[in-house]
Amino acid sequence: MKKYFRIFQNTLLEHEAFKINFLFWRIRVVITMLMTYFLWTSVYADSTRLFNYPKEKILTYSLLLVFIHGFVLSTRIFLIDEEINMGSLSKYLIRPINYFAFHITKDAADKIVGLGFSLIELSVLIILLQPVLYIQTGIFWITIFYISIVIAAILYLEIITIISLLTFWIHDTWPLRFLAVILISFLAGSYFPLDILPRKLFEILIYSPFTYLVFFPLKLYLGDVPQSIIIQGITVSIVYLLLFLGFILFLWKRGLRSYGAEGQ
Amino acid sequence: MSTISIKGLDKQFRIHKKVPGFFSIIKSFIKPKIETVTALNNISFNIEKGELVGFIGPNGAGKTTTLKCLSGLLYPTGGFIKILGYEPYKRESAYLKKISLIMGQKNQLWWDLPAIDTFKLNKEIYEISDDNYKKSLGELTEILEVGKEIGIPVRRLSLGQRMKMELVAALLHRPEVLFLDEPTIGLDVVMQKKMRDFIANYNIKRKATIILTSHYIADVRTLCKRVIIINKGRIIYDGSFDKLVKKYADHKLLSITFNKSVNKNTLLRFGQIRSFTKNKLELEVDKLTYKKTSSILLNRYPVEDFNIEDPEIEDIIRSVFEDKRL
Repeated sequence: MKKYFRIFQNTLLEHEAFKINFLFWRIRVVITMLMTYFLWTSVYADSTRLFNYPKEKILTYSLLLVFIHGFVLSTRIFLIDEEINMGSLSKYLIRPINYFAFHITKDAADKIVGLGFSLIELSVLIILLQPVLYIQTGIFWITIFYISIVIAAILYLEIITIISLLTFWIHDTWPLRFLAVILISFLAGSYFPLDILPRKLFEILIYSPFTYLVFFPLKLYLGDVPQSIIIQGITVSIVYLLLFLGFILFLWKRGLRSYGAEGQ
Repeated sequence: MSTISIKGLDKQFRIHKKVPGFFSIIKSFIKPKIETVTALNNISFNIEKGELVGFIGPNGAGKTTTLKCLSGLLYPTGGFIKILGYEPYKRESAYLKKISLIMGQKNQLWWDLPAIDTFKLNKEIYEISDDNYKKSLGELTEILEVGKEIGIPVRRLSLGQRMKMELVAALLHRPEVLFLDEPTIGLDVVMQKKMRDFIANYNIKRKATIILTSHYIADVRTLCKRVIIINKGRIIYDGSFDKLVKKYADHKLLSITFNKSVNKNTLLRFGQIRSFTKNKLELEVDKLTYKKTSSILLNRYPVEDFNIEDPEIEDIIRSVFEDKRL
């Protein structure tokens, strides 16, 4: 366990070593938050309810979206792709360490840093802009919201890991990853709540894993979900989580057999 | 039981053959041309505890592939490997804690952090006790003279300093078996010597079993009593380095300075002229007749200075690779 604590610590030190990069990253997050806020404020300028959403809920959705983006949809796990291609995977394989645990620990450190800063930034923006927001006070909804974003973060990590592991056979997976990230962002509800889409399409999407990355956790925070849908959503996302885990282990085992350790 | 035991090791790679031209690329996308390349062909040898063995061969001979199979990075296509009682490709923690692989300039150090942060991480990864860690770190940084640099971010270190830090990181857990792939590559002559001294010292002090590959024959000559020569995936020599020199050093090198000009054509019958500039001659002469040839040259030519040398080791190795009998 101590080794993972040290990896965690080293990752935090890496952030400290790149203060300027870190600052620009945070500025980008703040700008995104402001853009989203002003966009939805303009859309709701003449009405208080659109797409079946009251203004305070859509503003809450869009601001929390930035926060969820930072926690769920930001990962460096795609570096697996480069490590397989460049052969630097070897430096992990020759040491008694679990490669995935190494990267997950690094990712956890990144996410905690991102989460901490986005909470501070969000609080500052709320104080400055004083937007009309929906504040969830129900313990049940807050607990289930936290559970769902942890599941979402693991699911996204698994999806990107699967794409990256294909590097064992396809030498460049970045075009595939690029396409996947755009599609996932759309299908996850990163641009708008998925339930404003046509009913039929929405009913199909709730069986895809992507819905559970952004839309589902945010809906849970807003408290708009019937109990049966909560159970269904959690079940579907856990089934995907286990399926993807199995697939990763399969790809890893097969991939290592064809790994050439090139470049090293 | 030998520390390292390899029998009939084969390794083949399936290579996707690239073809030039737009239509050929599309065709190869639909029906890719896969070629099987044999990197290792029936490799067998045993290495005993504490041996330091040189593993040499030209580029693409299979040296690094062998080391990768031994360290568990590559799955062998066929054959049997047993090191310290373990099968490397299973990559069991107990095995990985007893070995180390150092590959030239490639690093396990965290690039943006001081080396000490990687050392602390390795302490936890290899579960080194506080006492052993302090002792190992102290010893290694003292011998390698990097005590002051361990707090500087790795990216700011010179290549030589980085290589030393790599060694510290790789040896903190005191591996029993060490695979060194081109450990002196890119280093200046002074650093190369220091690195060689260090490897020799580690081998004696820790009784470590070491396999070393190097393009610098000086590394092998200084460090290894035994050499294994590999070419095109096959072992072509396995034995003492001295015997190799005796067997393949079939000529002597005569370096002569004349005090008057000499007709080059009259010298051709004595051997192969390697160089002839102004009054200086370098002549390769058969080992069996060099005494007689030297006497003739000294008696019949205006010799000012005369020197007899053994051929360079590089030449001997080259003649081994060119030997059609092998």
